[in-house]
Order: sequence, then structure tokens, then C-alpha cells
Amino acid sequence: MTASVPDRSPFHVLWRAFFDQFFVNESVTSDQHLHQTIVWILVVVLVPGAFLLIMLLPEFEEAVIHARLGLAPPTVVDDLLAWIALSLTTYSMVTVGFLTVMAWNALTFDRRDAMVLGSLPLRSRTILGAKLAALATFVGIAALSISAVNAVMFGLVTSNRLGAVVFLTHVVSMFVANLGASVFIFAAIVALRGVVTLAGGPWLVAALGPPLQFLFIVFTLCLVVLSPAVWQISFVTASLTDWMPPAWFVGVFEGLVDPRGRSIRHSNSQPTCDAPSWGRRSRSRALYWCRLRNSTGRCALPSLRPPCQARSEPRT
Amino acid sequence: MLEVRNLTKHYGALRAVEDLSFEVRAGEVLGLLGPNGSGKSTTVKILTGLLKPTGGSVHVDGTDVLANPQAYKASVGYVPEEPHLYSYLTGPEYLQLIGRLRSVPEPVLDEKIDRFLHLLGIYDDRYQTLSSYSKGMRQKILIAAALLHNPRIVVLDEPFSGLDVTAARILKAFVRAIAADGKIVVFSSHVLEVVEQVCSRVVILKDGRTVGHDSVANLRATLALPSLDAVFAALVTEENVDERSQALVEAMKAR
Repeated sequence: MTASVPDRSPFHVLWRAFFDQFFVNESVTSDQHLHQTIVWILVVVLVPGAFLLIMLLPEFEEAVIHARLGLAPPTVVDDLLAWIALSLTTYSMVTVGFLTVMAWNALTFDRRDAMVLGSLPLRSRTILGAKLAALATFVGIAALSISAVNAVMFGLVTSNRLGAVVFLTHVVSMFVANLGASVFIFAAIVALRGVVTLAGGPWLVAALGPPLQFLFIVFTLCLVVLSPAVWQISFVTASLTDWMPPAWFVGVFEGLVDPRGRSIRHSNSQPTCDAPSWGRRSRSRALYWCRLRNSTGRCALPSLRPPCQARSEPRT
Repeated sequence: MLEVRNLTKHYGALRAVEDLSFEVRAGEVLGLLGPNGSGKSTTVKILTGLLKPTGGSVHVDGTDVLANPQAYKASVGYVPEEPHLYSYLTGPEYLQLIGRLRSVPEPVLDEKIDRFLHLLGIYDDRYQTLSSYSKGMRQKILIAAALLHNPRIVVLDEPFSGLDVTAARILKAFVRAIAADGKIVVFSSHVLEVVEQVCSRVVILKDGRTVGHDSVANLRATLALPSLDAVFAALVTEENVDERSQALVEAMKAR
């Protein structure tokens, strides 16, 4: 006697069908292949993030040691912290964007969906709800996994010897910022797909997919290969980085790391000679240094201050 | 009984269907005939709930289908003219998807799928994706998908497109058999001899309007013509076929 298989609701069946569409192509022939594809994508997506951190974090540790020894101003540490936050947020955004454009054809309904589903006894809200649920699942898995890995690694390194509270604050703040950035780029691409479908029709949608995929592959590769060298290039200035969407979410990160950071930000309004101007607005920059200083129980203010920093108001 | 009353469909200024009326009783196969652009596909899409009419109505047993479109769609099986299906799925996976969306119970569904695949001669290809299927094999999947839930109304739009002779012969007999079983069958096709063999009555459309509506035998008798082909030519074709074909030959040879 065989056990009866519970019947699934049309919503669940459709959700699963729409979700599968993000990963399938003509060569995927079974659920097993589908699972392999998902695992492959996750591995490919997560490894560059770890690679990025491995490249960036020694530089950060070196800056901390230099600052402790008084060989560099403390702002260098804070700026690096902000740069890493920006790098990871950019990475999350680019990676989720890359995954989204790779699933370009499945982001909205097409003629095939209309022809297959149109004659079935399904309510419009069931179809729409299943599609939205599939989109949410897709972005959820992609964004959560990338953000979680980034946040934990970021927290482990940047809260070294600062205690559990700082660790949790850094992890949660970075997670929220990365998640926000990921959802933002996903929503932006889905909206773009919808607008292009309405304005230009299927031909334009089909034509736009490959260039966007190419663009995001280039972004991803550039970010991984060139970082952190890219931050040393002179053209990466405040005027360039300030308008970049990842910077908006670094603001979220900073706000969460230090909700009372306005006074710090205001007190840091004077320029420093060694930090890019984007970093000057970082709320967390002085905070990190102060926490580090307090935790070690010694005042490690550098003995050699650059002249322009000497004009600043004392921090904390 | 399926009743179509004064059906009209406009796409902007284009009148695809104009004041079309007919009825199909249980056990009957109604043929929709007409040249390209005559309104057959539009009529079929309205009958399957894919399009809403601009005017007129479709009733089943006296009830307007728009009153409960989901219930109506649940009673309809539709074989579309174009093989739109999720080609990344295998045949059984696609049929499972459609069966589940039509709420066919799982154990029954799996058994039905196996039987359909065997009977349609595509069981050995069950592990291949639909993208690798030939046109005829895809057509068989579409036919199976339309019949999985044992529909009361079956709408077939060029159902034999791409099928080999044996499969076409089997399915012609099958269409007659499901009608004999009490189903309401609407059969749209360009192939006059198939319509003549399968349909009990035909509606001949031209420019969205009905130009003939009767049984094949009555149409032949009324117009004193020997075949449905001749009836169709008399009602629809305005041009001299020989003249047009000769002109095509000349165009082909032109240097």
C-alpha cells in the first residue's frame, strides 16, 4: 500500500514553477540538476566575497597596528573601516545584480506564461502572488546568504578585541546595509525589466538582457580583481563615490553602528589630509578608534599628526 | 450546451470577430473554418477564456461563462495552435505542472501521465526536455495536457499540426470518440478534409463574420457542390487560384 502524496495548492505549485525558472535553462533536465545549479551559483557568488575580504583585511590590520604604534593617524583606521563597508556593500549589490540579470527572462511574465497559464482555472491574484513570492524567495536566498557571510566576516575582523556587543553591532549593521543594498538593486532591475517590457515590448527586453549580463559580469570581476587596488586610484574620490548607490547603504551601516553619531560627524567636519572626503563623513570612523583605544586601556593617539588634522576638534 | 451569442471582438479599429453566433451540443464536434485572419483564433481564445469579448456572450447550459471564469476554465481543455510550453521541463514534468494546477489528485495524475505518454508514443522520451522534442511530440504533450483533467468542453486549434500520419489518424478517431462520450468539442483547422471527417457541423468564417453554418452534408447539398473544399472555395475564396499560383511561379522565376 502506497502512502498518499498530499496535493499541493496551485499557489505552491506556481511558486515553485516560477522559482525554478530563475535557475533553469534548456539543458537542465531534472530537480537534481536544478539543485546542482543552485549550489554552483551560491559557491561562485560567495567565494569572491571571501576573496575580497582576504585582500582587504590585512590592510586593515596593518592600519590598526600602525595607528597603535603612532605611525599613522587614527583616521586611517576609520577610513579603512568605511572603505571595507563600502567594498562589501558594493560587492553585495553587484553580485545580487549579477544574479538578477542572469535570470533576466524570468523576472516578469511573458507571452509563454500567458499562453500556458491563461487557459487554466487560476485567479490573477494567485498567479501574481506566486510570481512575487518566487521573486522574494530568489532575492531572499541570494541577499541573505551574501549579506550573512559578509556581515559575519566583517564583524569577526573589525571587532577584534572589542567584545561581543561591538561584534554584534558590526554584524547586524553590515547585514542590514548589505541586505538593503541587495534588495535595492534587485528591485531596480525588476522595475527596469517591467518598464522596458511596457515601453519597448519583448524585442527590447530580449535585446537588453545580454548587455546587462555582460555589464554585471564585468562589474563583478572588476570588483574582485581590482579591489583593494581600486581604492588607491586617484579618480575614486568623493565626487565619484558619493552618488554611488552603495554609499547610501554605507550611510545605513554608519547610522546603525552609531545611532548618536551626529555629534561625531559634526566634530569631524574639518578635512583631514589623508582621507578621501567620502570618508570624512563617516560616522563610524572616530568611533572605531575610540573603542579600540578604550578597550586596550591606553591612549594611543598618534604622536605625529598631519597638519590639517591638527586643526580638527578633539574627538569623543 | 455551449452557446455563443452575437460575439464581437475589436482590437482598436480592427474588427476581428463581428456578431458571431453558434451553439455546440454535448456529443457534437463543431468545426471552425476560415482563411488566415478570419477570426478563428480570436474566437477560440474567447472560448478558452484567454480573451474577453468586446460584445456578446458565451453561455454554458444557460450560464454566462464570465460569471465564474475559473469554474468555466476548469471545465475546458485547450490545445493551442502555437506550442507554447515550458521547454526546460521534461514531458512528464510539464504534465505534472498542468495537472497540479488543475488540481488533479497526485496518484491519479502520475498514473494518467504514464498512460498518456504510452498511448501517444512518447514514453521513451520522458527524460528529455521539451526543447529537444520535435513539433509533433510537443503537440502530443499539448494534447495530453488539455485532456488530463477529463474536461467537459474540448477546444482544439489546429491539433494535428506536426503529427505523423499514424498519430493523426488515431487522434481523429479519438476526437470522434470523446464527442460520442458526451463532450462538447470545438475544432478549428485549415485542413478541410480533416474537418470533413471529424466535424458534425461547421462554421465558416470570413473577415470575422459567419458566411456559412450548417452540417457539411447540408452545405454541400445547399450549394450543390461535391466537397467541403468546393463549398469553402465558393464561400470564401474570391480569387482565381490558378491565376494566383501562376503569378507566384512568375515571381519565383523573375531575375
